[in-house]
Amino acid sequence: MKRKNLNTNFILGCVLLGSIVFFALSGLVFMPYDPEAMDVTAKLAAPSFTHPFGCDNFGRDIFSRTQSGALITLCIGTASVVIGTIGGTILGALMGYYGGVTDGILMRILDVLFAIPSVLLALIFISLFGNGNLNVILALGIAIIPSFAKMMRQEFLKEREMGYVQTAKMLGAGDLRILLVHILPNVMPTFLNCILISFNNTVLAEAGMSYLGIGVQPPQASLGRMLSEAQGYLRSAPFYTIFPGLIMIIMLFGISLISEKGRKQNALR
Amino acid sequence: MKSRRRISLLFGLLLTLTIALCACTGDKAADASSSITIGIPQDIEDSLDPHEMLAAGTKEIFFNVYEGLYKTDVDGNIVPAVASDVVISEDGCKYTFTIREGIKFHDNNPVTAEDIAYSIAKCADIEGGNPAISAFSNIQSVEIDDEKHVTISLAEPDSDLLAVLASIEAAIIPKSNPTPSQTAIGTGPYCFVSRSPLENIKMKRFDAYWKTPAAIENVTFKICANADTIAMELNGGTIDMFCRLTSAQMAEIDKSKFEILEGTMNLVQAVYLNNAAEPFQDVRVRQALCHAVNREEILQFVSDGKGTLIGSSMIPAFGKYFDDNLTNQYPYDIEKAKALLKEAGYENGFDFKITVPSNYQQHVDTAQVVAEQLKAVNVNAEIVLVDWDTWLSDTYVGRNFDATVIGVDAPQLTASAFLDRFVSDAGDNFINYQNSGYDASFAQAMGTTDDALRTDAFRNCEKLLAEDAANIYIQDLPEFVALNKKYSGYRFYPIYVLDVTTIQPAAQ
Repeated sequence: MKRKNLNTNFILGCVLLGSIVFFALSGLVFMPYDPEAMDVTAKLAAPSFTHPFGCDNFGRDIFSRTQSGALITLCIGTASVVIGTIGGTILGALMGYYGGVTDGILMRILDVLFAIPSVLLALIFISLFGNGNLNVILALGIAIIPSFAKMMRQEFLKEREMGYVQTAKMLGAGDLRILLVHILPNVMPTFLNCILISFNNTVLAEAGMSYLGIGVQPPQASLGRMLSEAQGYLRSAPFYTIFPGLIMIIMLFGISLISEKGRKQNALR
Repeated sequence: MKSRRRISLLFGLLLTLTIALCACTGDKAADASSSITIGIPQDIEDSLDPHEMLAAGTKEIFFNVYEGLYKTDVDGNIVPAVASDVVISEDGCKYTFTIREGIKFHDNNPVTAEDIAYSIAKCADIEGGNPAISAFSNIQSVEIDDEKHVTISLAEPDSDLLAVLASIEAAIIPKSNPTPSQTAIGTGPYCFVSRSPLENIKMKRFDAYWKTPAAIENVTFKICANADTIAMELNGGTIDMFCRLTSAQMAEIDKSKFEILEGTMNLVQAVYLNNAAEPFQDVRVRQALCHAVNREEILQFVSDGKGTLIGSSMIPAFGKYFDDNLTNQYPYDIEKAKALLKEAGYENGFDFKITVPSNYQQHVDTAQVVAEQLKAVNVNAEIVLVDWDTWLSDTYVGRNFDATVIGVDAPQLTASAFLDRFVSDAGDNFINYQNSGYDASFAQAMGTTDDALRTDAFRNCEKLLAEDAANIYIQDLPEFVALNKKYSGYRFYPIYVLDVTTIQPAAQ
């Protein structure tokens, strides 16, 4: 019974996330309007057949902007998670597997970084190196590293003592081989979970940063950017907030459903 | 157990009582003729000494408390205030003021020649050499001629002196007040009563004012720091008036209770171009961009078509100095823009960055529309949002930018306040505008005391700015004020002040 429930959630998550990814990618093939094209006559036009999601305060089609915005949000999320994953795994593996003084020092540094909220960390990075999509990706990627490294360290520390690692060592396998070929596949569930959770966090952080005006720069759209621009029109044009918000909610909900399955499986193990 | 229940009952009763009593305090139904509550967006934590005030928001409301020898009236004229008359010497270096008959400070002491000499010496800091505003550095000395007359001597003639003396930094305050930074005593139509940090500032009508006393007796300036709740406070009746509303806030205001008044912010909003940066060194490129920008459309997008188009660094409120012929110097013309770009060698367009302070939504919006419009001539403008401090240090002071959208204001009601920054070696010439003809014309205007000659010279400066397409001039931004229909009579000034004296209870 429990198992079945788990699977429905997982499938629902995949469907939700998949539909958003499809929606975002469809923008590459077909977009009803240029997402940056302005039209005076369509200022804050309500949803209609010509503009299914309505138009924003510059008469730009919200449907097209949501498409391109969702894509940018997904891209930034994926790219920064890749950076965070690589950095976090390497650090975690080194600390967990080798231990010793390096581990101690790195751990203390991570503890300090951990004390700073990741969005604040990203903010510091942006204020030092300036705006731009690439910097946002880097900033968010770096902001993920501490938590990722900590989780991976725990896993590697645990696996280090396992029999199969000792055996591999006795057989004369190199450290790199042990880390990549032997341990990594065994910590996969945690690894994937970390990825999903940090993906969720990054999407939210990007939205937050764009909302504050330091993320994606106008006139480019991202979901957070659109929400930020829409807040002044919450009453007069609610659809401006609702549609980008809805897309974001579905995306995040889908990811959490998927990562929930991983977490529960972990617990069952 | 029982006692705990009793305690919670007690708390419940207390809570009910508190809520019930809260309803009694609000004097919302107060008579319109006796009081008004005006919302202001920031706390007033400035010094109360007019010579030390820094924030525009403080000066704006203390316009009602302090007066200089002269003051600005609602049409932008410089009219006598504490002084009733002035005699200017032949060489334009000596100004002899006559003190107004019977004028009194808020503490009911008469204004004496000593008070005036003290105030002018203090604000111009004749001894210390550190004047409140740089324009005072021209003041060399101030002498008491007799009980009724004071003479100010200048280092060199300055026909703007009266306008400078009309600014709040030159307000007349009593010599007898030992702590002007904490006790505000002036000669204006309202007396300062109290201030509560983060809450309000209270003022009361000064009945012995030299002119007709104001109509409303008590004025409370309520601090409404949260922009999101302003519409709610207006609708709910906790404030009766608020200045500088955004169009989004305006949309939420109950139009049956409030009158929305439209004026202008007295700013020159433009895409300021760094005239020293590639490719804006070329006048043809600048002219091309002016032709490629559709300003009517910007107004439509940014402020629902409100706002006043301008064509140079001058606003219509400055009357005779404003040359309306310049407004349409560069009509929207894509073909002409393309031709000019081709001539300049930028047939395939170019890329540049527009740096905009992110806290000014109207400038960010304008930049977005401009960037979109320039795509038609293959010019690719990238928008870079920065915070206000970064903008000030990198763009304004550091001059490290291609283009920026901002509104420039005039600190005093003088044409030179808008135009002096474009003199080639001016410290605040942040666009690096260089034109020897302009410098000569500006110097000519400043050097003469002949009004017609001056006006012509200033207008010539504006013309040069427009011809050189120094910037892409857009508009004087619209300003919206919401005033409860219980009141009427709010008037817009050509400077940044909030005059309460013109407000009256509406005729029933």
